[in-house]
Amino acid sequence: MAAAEPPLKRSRRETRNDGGSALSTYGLLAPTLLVLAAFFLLPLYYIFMFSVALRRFSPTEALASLNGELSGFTGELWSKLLGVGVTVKVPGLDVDVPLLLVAIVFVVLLVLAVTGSKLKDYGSWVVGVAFALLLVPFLTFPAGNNLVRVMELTSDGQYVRLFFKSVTMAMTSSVAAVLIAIPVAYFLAFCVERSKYTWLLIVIAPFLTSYLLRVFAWKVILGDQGLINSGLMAIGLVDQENPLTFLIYSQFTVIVVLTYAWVPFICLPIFLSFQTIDRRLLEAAMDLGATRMQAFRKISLPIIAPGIVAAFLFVFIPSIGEYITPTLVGGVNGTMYGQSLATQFVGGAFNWQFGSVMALFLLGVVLLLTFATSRFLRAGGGGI
Amino acid sequence: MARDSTFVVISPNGKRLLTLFFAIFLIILYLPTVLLILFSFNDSTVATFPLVGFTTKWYGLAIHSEEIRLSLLASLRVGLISAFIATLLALMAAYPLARRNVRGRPLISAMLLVPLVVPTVVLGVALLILFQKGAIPIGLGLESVMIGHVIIALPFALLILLPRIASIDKRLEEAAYDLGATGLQTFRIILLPLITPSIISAFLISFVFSIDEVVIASFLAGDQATYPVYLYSGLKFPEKTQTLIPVATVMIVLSFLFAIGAEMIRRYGDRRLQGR
Amino acid sequence: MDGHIVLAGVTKAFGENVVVDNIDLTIGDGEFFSMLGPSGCGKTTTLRMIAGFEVPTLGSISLTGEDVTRVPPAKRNVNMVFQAYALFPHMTVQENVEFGLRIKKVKRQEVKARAAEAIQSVQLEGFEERKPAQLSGGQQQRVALARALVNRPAALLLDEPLGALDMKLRKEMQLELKEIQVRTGTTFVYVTHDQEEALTMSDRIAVMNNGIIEQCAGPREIYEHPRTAFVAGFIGTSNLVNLRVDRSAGGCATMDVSTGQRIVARSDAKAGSSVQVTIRPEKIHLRSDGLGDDASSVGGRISDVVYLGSMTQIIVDLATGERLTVHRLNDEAAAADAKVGDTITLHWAAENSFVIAGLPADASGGTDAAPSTSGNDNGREAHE
Repeated sequence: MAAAEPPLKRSRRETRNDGGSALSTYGLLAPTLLVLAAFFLLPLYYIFMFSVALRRFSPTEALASLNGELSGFTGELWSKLLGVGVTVKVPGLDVDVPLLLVAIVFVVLLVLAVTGSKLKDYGSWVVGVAFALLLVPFLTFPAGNNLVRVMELTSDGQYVRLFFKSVTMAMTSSVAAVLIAIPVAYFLAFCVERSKYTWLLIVIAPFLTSYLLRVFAWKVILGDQGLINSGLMAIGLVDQENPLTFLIYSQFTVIVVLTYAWVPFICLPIFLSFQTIDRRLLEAAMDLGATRMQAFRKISLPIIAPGIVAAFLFVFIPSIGEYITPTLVGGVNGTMYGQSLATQFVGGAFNWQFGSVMALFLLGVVLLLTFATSRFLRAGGGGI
Repeated sequence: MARDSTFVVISPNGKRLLTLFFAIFLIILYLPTVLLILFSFNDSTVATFPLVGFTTKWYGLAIHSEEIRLSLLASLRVGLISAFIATLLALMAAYPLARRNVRGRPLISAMLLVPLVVPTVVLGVALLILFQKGAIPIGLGLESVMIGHVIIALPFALLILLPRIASIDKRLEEAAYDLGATGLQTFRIILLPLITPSIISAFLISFVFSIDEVVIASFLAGDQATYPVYLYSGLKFPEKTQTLIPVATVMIVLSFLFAIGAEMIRRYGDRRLQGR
Repeated sequence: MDGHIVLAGVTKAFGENVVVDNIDLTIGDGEFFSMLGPSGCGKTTTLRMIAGFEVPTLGSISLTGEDVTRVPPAKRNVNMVFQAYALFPHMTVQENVEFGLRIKKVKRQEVKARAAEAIQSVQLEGFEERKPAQLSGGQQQRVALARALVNRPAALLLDEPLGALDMKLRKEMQLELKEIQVRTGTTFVYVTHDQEEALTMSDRIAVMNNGIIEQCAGPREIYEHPRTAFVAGFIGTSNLVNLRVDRSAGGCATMDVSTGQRIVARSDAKAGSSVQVTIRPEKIHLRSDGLGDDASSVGGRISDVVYLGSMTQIIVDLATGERLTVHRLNDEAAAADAKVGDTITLHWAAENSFVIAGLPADASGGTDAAPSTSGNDNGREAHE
């Protein structure tokens, strides 16, 4: 074999003869990669440089200086963004926690939630508890005219506070969207016998129509003289002079509209994961004495769980940085992080460097989340 | 009573309940669209209840509005060009990724797909810096919006094209080579006809995304607003909104038809690949 | 047209994995040549090298006297019938058949004439405008054949072409393929894992295993005189016994089993050497009538009797611990009478015990092909 080795190595690259040379392979990939490098990676690099540049630049001089005479780096803007500590509020108790500890706890919980199922004995419990602890601080429930929380995170840094608020709104609408989408997908997957996919298309189609207009339509429904208020006034439940004002320009509105906007979209991955359930498995379970509920819990749920987590992430990830919805229907009460970020560039604040810090922070959180949950995203999205 | 095939997954009462839930869901889902259509014919300057009377004057106003016409044309241009570029780039990248041994494939796929999760606000401001002050100072305008839309549409187009190319039996291409075809002939005569529906579908999705995209466009459009940017700025001022509704209604119906068209073409492609 | 194919020292390695190991092969003009072996034996890779889809790591391939080792498939005057046919799904039968000629820019009239002729030769007149999916498996197979033959290739390469058909159709197609081959006089190189298929159609068969050719000969020679234990085991059912030669005289080796029991073979093996002897089960008789003086004669106990329809299979345990399989047609009374537990004496003519050549005396039992009934259904060949 010794004599044969050099030629073996030499010809490894040209073993195929179907016109697929390395040149054409990378030649075809090159334009796309170049476009991404120039218009995606390069701008992100600028944001990074802005966020840590020592000197304070005015937007007009900023880039010229960054390209030439960058004098040094600083974390000053980052500490302005992050503040120093987080206050955890549960009913009857306020606890101050250093920011670093919060970050560590968050990462540990994330790791447990994603990989906990590999633990031998209490795997599903660990995953469940970790998910619950990640969800609960960021969930809010409507109670009368207000939204209440079981547990609240605030910060001395106003931007982190705003970020927590945005995450809360995104989280609440994501959970609501998933809870609505599950029965819809279940119905489509199991109860519709004929032209299932046409019904699915009817459910999904609104997602593909103008987002702006759907948001606008909700103004018509929820406004002071909108569908709901005028309806309630007509039947005398609400006084003409005192419409339900929490319906519009509030956190509540933003959550409702975000939920509405994303439900059609996530019906798809949940439907697809229901589709993978072999009915014969359920028949076998019931044949062996399981009730319908037991069969769902023991058989269907483990199969669809990754799809549901994926659906949740499909809503949650884009919602954190939401900018249009709160601007249109959020009012002062419903402001989100994305809006504040945008004003650093095009609005009143006009501070590109701090805006870059905000952008990078948001990007970092989103990428961390995506990376940690890529297993679920692939399961639900059929990615590459 | 004969058990139907849904017996194992749901009780008869549960099924009734779920059917009711689904019906209510569909009503709420389509309620906003129906309301928009109603208000586009409402003879009042504000979109509030109760409805006042029937009129088509808002459509008349919209047709003669220069602003609306210009913004629609701008959107059309941005949408068509960015969808074309995104589809072309996605096709060029999808072929080697589906068929060849590519070194560093995980890294390349990750880079191609990451724009999906990057918040559009972040991409918008990042491109704003690049075009205003960075190494590619083309300034603000429709070209800049196009570039931003290409970046976001690229992964969508890739996710449509790549699985389709990968699903086509490689032996079809080998058979063509074997019968004397060159690489380019094989692509044109064998692969292209088989993936054309997916290409159209990728193009339509990219186009629908672009003509509805407002965040990146509002950062990069500069003086020449695209239609969503015009709409967005109008919606912030209640006194302006009534004039926007007619075009909005037409757009919503059009994009609805577009979406269904894209899906029909995709299904047609599936059938065609099976040769039926 | 000279369809002469010569493979000289051809080796193919994928990375460190040597799939085809230094094979030499000459395929004559107009020959029906089969490559037979279990999945992963290298037969498909060899075919793909002849077609041009793979470039040999070492060695050369020549076609009609011309070196084509590195010539791309499009430039070789051979055509392939693919496993699962690879018919172009968006083209009609007519368009599929015309494809090769159109690519080569043959004149329109000639294209029509030759396509019509090819379609007629596979009896598909009237199906010209159908799409492949509208045809049955057998019809698709014929289209694939016509699409290749219309180019008048020097050789036709067939990769498990009947693998997707059911048993009955496969038998019909075997006869038809052979008939087409004889009629057109084209060289056929046929890859299969089905030994019966290879035996039925081929002029010559190369039995491959682990990247090498174990034996290359006509069907009768391969079946009756297997040169290695692998061939004996892979082709048909075979008995394989390990013995020591006791006497050797005049090209006749005698191996005593016990008193009055012996196995005789026509072999030059020297007295004292260890040998493997194969005996086809249907050559073993239950009576000694007319077998000649030097017939083998061995006694044993029947351990199993299996009724197989046209014949009965009798398993006999010898005193030495070896086990022989005997097939007798069911028109023989003796076969019907055989019962488990009976003692019985088996007889066969000297020319029916075959000593496997080229086996070192101490290597007996080194293969896993020992007294076996293997080789009928080795599973589908994985596509390499």
